[in-house]
Amino acid sequence: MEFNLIMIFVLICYLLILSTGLFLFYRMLKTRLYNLFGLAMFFILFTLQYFIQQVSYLFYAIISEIALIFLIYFVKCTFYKEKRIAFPIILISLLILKLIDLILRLIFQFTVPESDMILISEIPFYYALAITVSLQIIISISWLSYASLNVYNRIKVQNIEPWVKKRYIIIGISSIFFGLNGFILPFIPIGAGFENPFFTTLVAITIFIFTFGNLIAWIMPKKLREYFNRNYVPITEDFLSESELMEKIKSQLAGGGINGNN
Amino acid sequence: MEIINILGNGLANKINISPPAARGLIKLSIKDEVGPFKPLELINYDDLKSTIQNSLKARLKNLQIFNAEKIISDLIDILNKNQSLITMAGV
Repeated sequence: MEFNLIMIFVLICYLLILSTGLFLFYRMLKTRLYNLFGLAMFFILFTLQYFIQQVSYLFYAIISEIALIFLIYFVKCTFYKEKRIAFPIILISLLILKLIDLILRLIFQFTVPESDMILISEIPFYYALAITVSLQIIISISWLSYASLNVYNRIKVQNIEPWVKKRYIIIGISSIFFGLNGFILPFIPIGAGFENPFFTTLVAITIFIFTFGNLIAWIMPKKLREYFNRNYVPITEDFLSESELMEKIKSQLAGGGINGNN
Repeated sequence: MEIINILGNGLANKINISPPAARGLIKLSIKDEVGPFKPLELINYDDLKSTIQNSLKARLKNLQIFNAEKIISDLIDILNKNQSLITMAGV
């Protein structure tokens, strides 16, 4: 009963993240911010992998890997478009880890977490697999978290709408919680799988924080935006013609002084 | 657009004009670069980068700003560091 409730809770989380993905896809078309494709696809495939893992491991392995590649593609295109080194390094690391993951799973038929008992001689290989799975999650999600919190630290003192700053911090922190999954997985006892209530609850909580955080960050209700912006004074612009503006700039450059909003 | 505010503040500091005037200069440069019909909300990283490197640079040179090349390079650096604002504030 308790286990079923947790699984229903996890299912709701996956549906939340699917709706966030579909929303981002819609916004991508509307705003032409095509880098959102990576994140939208990550959220959509992230949900799909949950359903597919019950059916076919091969498809699950492929989809989970593509999902993570979409995620790091989003981080690259959104935060580090001009940097050419980090993305290939992270991509190659993920592919190598996935290759090790696939080989170990094909040889030993393990799942992570493992719900059946395994031979003592196979235990080191199980933990090698658990660590490769963990590293794939940690590497990809940490990049998003690091990028978001890094920009937040830089812009927190700038005159930017507070709801935008909150979006960075919500994404950064919720991603840390998702990354915790990577640390939890190797500690789930062999033979318990996701039927161990303690670890399943722990994983469910991290997934909930990640999915709900992203839902709020990306589909932020207008009331919440207004609440975050309650003390913010928007920047107002004077409407000047091009010649008036250029005259003003020339006057300021010539030592005419900078006068507030003029 | 938040990224224009940040770039405007950067430009204002570098050439000692007011931030609104700097933002106005950047918006005029965007208009030069992408044309008058593309709304500011649809301006992306590549548009801003080419605006800074081409039309803004030309306008700074017309204004006889000393060290325009260095200012452009610094503004590109500001854009690169804050490029995510285009997406984060745009969705």
